[in-house]
Amino acid sequence: MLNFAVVGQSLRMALQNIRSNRMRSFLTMLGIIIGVGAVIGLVTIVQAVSGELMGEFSDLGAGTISVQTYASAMKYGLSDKDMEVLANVEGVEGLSPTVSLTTTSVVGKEVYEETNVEGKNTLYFQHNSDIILSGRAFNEQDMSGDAYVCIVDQSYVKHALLGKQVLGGQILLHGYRYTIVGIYKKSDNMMSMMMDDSTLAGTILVPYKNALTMTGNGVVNSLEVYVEDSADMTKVEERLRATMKNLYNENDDFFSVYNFSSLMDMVDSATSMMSGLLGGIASISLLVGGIGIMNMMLVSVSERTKEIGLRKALGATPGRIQAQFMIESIVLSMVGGFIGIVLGESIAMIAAKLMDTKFVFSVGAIMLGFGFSAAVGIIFGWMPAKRASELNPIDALRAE
Amino acid sequence: MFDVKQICMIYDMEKEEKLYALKGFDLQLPDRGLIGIIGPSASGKSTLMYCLSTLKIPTEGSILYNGRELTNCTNVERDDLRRREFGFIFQKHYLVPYMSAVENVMVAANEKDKTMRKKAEEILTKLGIREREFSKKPAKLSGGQCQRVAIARAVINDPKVIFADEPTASLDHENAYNVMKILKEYSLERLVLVVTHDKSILKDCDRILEMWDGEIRDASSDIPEKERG
Repeated sequence: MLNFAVVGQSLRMALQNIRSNRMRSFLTMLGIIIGVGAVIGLVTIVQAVSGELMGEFSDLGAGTISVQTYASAMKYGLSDKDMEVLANVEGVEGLSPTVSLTTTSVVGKEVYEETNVEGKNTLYFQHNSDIILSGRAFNEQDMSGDAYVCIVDQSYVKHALLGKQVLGGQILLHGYRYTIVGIYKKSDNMMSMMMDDSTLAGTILVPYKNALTMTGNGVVNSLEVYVEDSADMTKVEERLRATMKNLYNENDDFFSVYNFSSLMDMVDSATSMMSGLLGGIASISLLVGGIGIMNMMLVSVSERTKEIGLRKALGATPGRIQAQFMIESIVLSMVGGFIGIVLGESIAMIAAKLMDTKFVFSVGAIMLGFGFSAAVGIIFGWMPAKRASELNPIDALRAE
Repeated sequence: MFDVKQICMIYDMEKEEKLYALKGFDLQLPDRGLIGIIGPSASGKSTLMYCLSTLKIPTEGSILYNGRELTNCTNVERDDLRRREFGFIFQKHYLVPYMSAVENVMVAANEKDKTMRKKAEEILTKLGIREREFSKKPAKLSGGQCQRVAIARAVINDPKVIFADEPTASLDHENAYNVMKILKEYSLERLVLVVTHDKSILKDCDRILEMWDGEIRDASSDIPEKERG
């Protein structure tokens, strides 16, 4: 029977033997080190990139459905009445229209030709409560259409308001004097950065009815639909599409309805597939490493025939001999696996730094690395250990 | 202790001309004493020792060890018997090269605790191995020291029988004399069987058995009384 003392002794013997053949043990472990390192490194990098991408999409609107309209001769955009119809669709919590335009802003005597202005409603701020850095968001009173309040982004503060009063300060937009009530943090996701125009002074948020007045056409071309927590996103998306089709006289060429959740699912499944594929390719080197371990163990059994013969003559059971060599193989493989994990995590950390993504310390990847290396040790150590256990003690002692 | 009846060992059973290593003889061995088994190469002396120590199973005959039939034992029972009641010394020391002297003694120990380690150190000291040599690997020890470590390994579990197969063959005369002296001491409390082809080391034996072509005869009287201890 194997007990702790026997396992302990086998462990000690394994470590002693590995130490006494340092170079050979290291070269044998190299396959496992590279294999585990590659699996951990690649899986961690893909997970980090995937996380980053998911974060981007989440920022863009997880739990929301985006509705875009394109101007046509029949219908220029969505009116207040249309939006009321959409807001009443089953499962819809509310709408947040986005009205965008580029216009001129004036601060004191300074004129900023290119200023981005976006119209938002109160619901937008309820769902993006963390974007206000200082001051306040819009409230219901601001939505009447005759409240001239605005919220500026950090970029506008940097370009136009440096050294000036920000909160309570005033900006002239379209002939009206707007009071700054807040500063907000513009999303720093990749999409926003791609769309960022360096010629713009910044972005100013105004109540959406004020923005509609500025555009002069009174219709909305883009809106985000917030879905109730209990509602099924796909079903709500289908209902919205049907309603939009109805509003557009059964013509679906001039609008689009996007569900960000399904997009995120697609990205998630694509990155999972990529992770599996890369992990699979990397695990080929683990197989090669395993063969290396089996080779080393076979050589070890052959070299230590007399030791095996002696131990069997002294009464060691085949099980104990097998356990000794199995433990040695597992130790060899797991030491390699540990170094591989350190190597893989280091690669992932360097890659995260180079790609400017967040390094994710994945416990799952580490468990995977240890699991892989232990499995390699057991699978590839079994045959040599079995061979050792079956040696005849007298023949083994007499072997040359 | 041993009661051997018509023991027979045939090699090459499948061949037409069978090779008899042991040709069917009876033998009784006591509980203690130093017994020498002498004979030329291929006379069957090592085969006899392997059969008595359960490392080989005779083709025919019976071996009773303290009334227990060894030829019927299972592999597990034989392993257990060797581990608990038998000690082995071989022609070569067969020390594990990557282990220290003490660790080599501990290889045979049934318990791996600190008490056993202390016991191993005490035995080594008794056998003339100095403390500073305890941690040395076999490559750093002399031939005589290695063989003494091997003797320590054989007695660590207080065996009832020590089987020594050509224990002095790889030693010089002085070391051979010392090893036999140690074995003689151990034989006061247990049975020590020494297989050799060198008659000169058997002068202290209580009994000498001579083997020739698979047969055995008591040759104790061949050594003059004055040469025996």
